[in-house]
Amino acid sequence: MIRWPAFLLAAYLLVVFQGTIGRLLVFNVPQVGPIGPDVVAMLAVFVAMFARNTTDVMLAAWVLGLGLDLTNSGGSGATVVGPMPIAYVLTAGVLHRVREAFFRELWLAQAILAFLFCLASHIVWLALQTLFRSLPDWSAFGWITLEIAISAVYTAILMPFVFAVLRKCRSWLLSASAGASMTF
Amino acid sequence: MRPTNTIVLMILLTASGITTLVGSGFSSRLRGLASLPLAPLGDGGMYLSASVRERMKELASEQVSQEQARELKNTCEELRDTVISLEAGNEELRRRLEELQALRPGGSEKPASRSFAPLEYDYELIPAHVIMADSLPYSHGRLVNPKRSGAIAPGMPVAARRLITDRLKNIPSGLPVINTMQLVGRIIESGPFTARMQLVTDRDFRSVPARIIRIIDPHNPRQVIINSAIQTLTEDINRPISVIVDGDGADGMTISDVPHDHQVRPGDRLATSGKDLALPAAIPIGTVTDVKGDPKNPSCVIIKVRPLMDLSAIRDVYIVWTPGSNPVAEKSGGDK
Repeated sequence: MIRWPAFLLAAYLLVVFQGTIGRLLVFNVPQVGPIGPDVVAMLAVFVAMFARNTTDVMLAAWVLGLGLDLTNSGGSGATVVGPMPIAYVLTAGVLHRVREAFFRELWLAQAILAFLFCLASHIVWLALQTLFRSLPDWSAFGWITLEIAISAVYTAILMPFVFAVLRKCRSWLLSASAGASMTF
Repeated sequence: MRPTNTIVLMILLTASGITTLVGSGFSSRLRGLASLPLAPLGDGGMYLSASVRERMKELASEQVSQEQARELKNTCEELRDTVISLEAGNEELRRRLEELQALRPGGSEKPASRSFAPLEYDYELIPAHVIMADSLPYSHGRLVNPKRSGAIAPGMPVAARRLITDRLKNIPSGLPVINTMQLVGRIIESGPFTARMQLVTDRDFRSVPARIIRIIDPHNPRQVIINSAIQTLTEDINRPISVIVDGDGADGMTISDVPHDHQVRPGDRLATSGKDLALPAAIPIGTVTDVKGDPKNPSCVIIKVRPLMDLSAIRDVYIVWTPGSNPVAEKSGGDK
């Protein structure tokens, strides 16, 4: 079970972190663009690895995705709110199903899951934004996907460190029975 | 009957689908509401972020040796002496001019002042803090502006900042935003107590009228063509060059279609035109850092301009509102 008050507080703190102090982690890659980690996704991956119930995981992912969409507005126009919660829910649901195949204590497994989560959720988000904005510019899709992929690698590199911190807070975020169904 | 988690999830996903379909106007309002609870913590976070960035820049900057510091101090003192002597010379010339004017019939009247006096206009400065940047780092600006998709290029970074203001009512879009040094952006979205600013470096910050002010360097004079005649640029003929500025989507701005004959150089200054109704004053925008030939038009150059300060570390800004430019903002009070 997820302890919702603590989880909502953690989600709030991480969303604010990503838009403020987290900007210190963003850097420009020449010919590619700004690259930065998705710290919020790390919490989603952590919950997906430890929470027992798939619906709980998807609800938590919805909250985190909504937080990102509400704090991300695009350039001069505005992206729509909604695609990121959908993308996070779908990806977290799949991740919860496949987590049995990974040894969650292994840092490499944590990094791989974070990479896959970021890559999949952000590409779904990008596709939904492009689709529902009815833009003809699908040719740019590949270019942005490259940025998403590099950002996903960056997130994967940081995931083991954030995982170690989140693990210390596990009892606050998840009840004791959480993760009991895990098999290795 | 209490709804199960599955039903709640289905409702939430349906709501997400609806907000996706409804469009960006409704999403903007949602974001405006969401920024209120984010503001208190975001303000502190942005302060910390800006402080760390400033500190890192200080550490990375070149250290000045004691000898260099001594030389700089001497140069400063020499320059100060020069300024004092020039001021004394000016005073003498002014006194002589007054004497000459007194000799002329009706000479006691003061001459009409030249147009160097600052333009006086009624304006309001609305103080604001930068509280958040967009949460996703990579570019997606091309997704959001179908009306101008032709002007959008791949790799366009998003350059927007959420501001917190002291206004309960919406601030009109398009208002310029300045800090103590320069123009930093414009308002593109607002709600109660918050607004969103688009930075001058954003790729979609386009077609801003501005002026290049050429800096006269006596040691390195430049030859310009005026009325088909080659002349050395002096203060008397140094008129600002009207240009159109576009954000480059990275860390600066670009100006194209500037005739090569104007001899713009790195170090020249860029300022607002002063003719914009929303900002009828010349406010610095940046410094020319690079001048390159335009491959499409050999008689013109492409100019690269950098802001006077690192925009990623800005914190305190002012939204400039000229009364009469928008009746919505006129109702709110503010410092003058």
